Amino acid sequence: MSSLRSSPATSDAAKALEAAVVDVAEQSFALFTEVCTPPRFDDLLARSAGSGADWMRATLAFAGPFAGELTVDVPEPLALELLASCVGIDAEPDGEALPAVEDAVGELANMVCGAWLTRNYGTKRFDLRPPRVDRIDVKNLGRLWGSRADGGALLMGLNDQPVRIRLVI
Amino acid sequence: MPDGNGRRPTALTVLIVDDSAMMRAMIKRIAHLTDVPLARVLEAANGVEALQLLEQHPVDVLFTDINMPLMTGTELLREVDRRQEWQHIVRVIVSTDGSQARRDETASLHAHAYLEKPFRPEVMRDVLAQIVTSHQ
Repeated sequence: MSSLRSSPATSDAAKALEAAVVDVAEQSFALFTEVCTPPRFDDLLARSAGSGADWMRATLAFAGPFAGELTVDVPEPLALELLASCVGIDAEPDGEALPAVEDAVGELANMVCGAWLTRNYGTKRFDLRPPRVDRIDVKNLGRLWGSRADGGALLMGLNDQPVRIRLVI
Repeated sequence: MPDGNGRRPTALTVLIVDDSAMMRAMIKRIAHLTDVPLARVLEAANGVEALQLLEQHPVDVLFTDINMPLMTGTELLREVDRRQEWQHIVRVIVSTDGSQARRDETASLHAHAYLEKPFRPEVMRDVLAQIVTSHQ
C-alpha cells in the first residue's frame, strides 16, 4: 500500500480528494473550507491545541477493483460543529437523544470517501465498510502523524480548525 | 401547504433507513423543515430493522442508504419490490455511492429518486415536494 500523495501518478486523485472534502464540508455541513499549506496547518493546529481537546479519528476501509483506507482526523470541537450543523443545535423536538459525536466524524469520512470514489472511478463498484471512530489524546498526534503532518496527507482547515485526511490505496 | 384548490395534501409517514444516526437525524430534520406534512417519521439502522417496521406500520415514503450492516439497502429494496402490499411505497435511495455501477444495480428496484451524498437540503425538499404532489 502507498499513500495517495506518495505517487506522482495520483496527483489528479489527490485533487479529487480535495474537491470531495470541499463538496462534503460545504454542502452537507455548511463549513468554510481551505486547503492548507504546512505552515497554515501548523498555525491552526497550535490554536486548536490550546483548548487541550481530544481529537477524533475516523477510519474507513473500502474494497472493489482495488482496496484502500481513508483516515480523517479532526479536533473534537469541530466534530461537535459537524453534528450541530447536521441535526441542529437544539435537542430533537420529540426529546429523542442526539446522535453521538463519533457518528458525525464517521459520516464525514463516509461521504468524503464515497464522493472521491464516485469522482475518480464512477463506473466501478466499491463497497465501503462502516467507519470506525477512535478518540485520540492530543498529546499523541505527533506519534501518529510522524515528524511531518503533511507526510502523505491532505491538510485542510474547516471553519478555521485543522483537519488531516490520509488516503492509502 | 394547500394545493391550488385549497386542499391540504395527505400527511406522509416516512421511514428513514441508515446505519448512521446522524444521517437519519439530518434527513429527519430536513423533512421537518419543509412544508411537506408529515404524519410520522420512523427510523431503522439497517434493512432488517426496516422490514420489521414495515410489517408494523403503514409507510408512504422510504429513504434508504445502500451500504449498511445486516441487510443492505439494495437487499431491502428487493424485498419491498417483492411484496405486493408495499408497492405503493415511494422509494428514495440516499447514498454516498453515486457510481454508475451502483445506479445500474438499483435501476430495476423502482426507486423514485437516487440522492447522492453530499446533497444540499433543498434537493431533498424538492424530492419530498414531488412525492407529495404525486401522492395527492
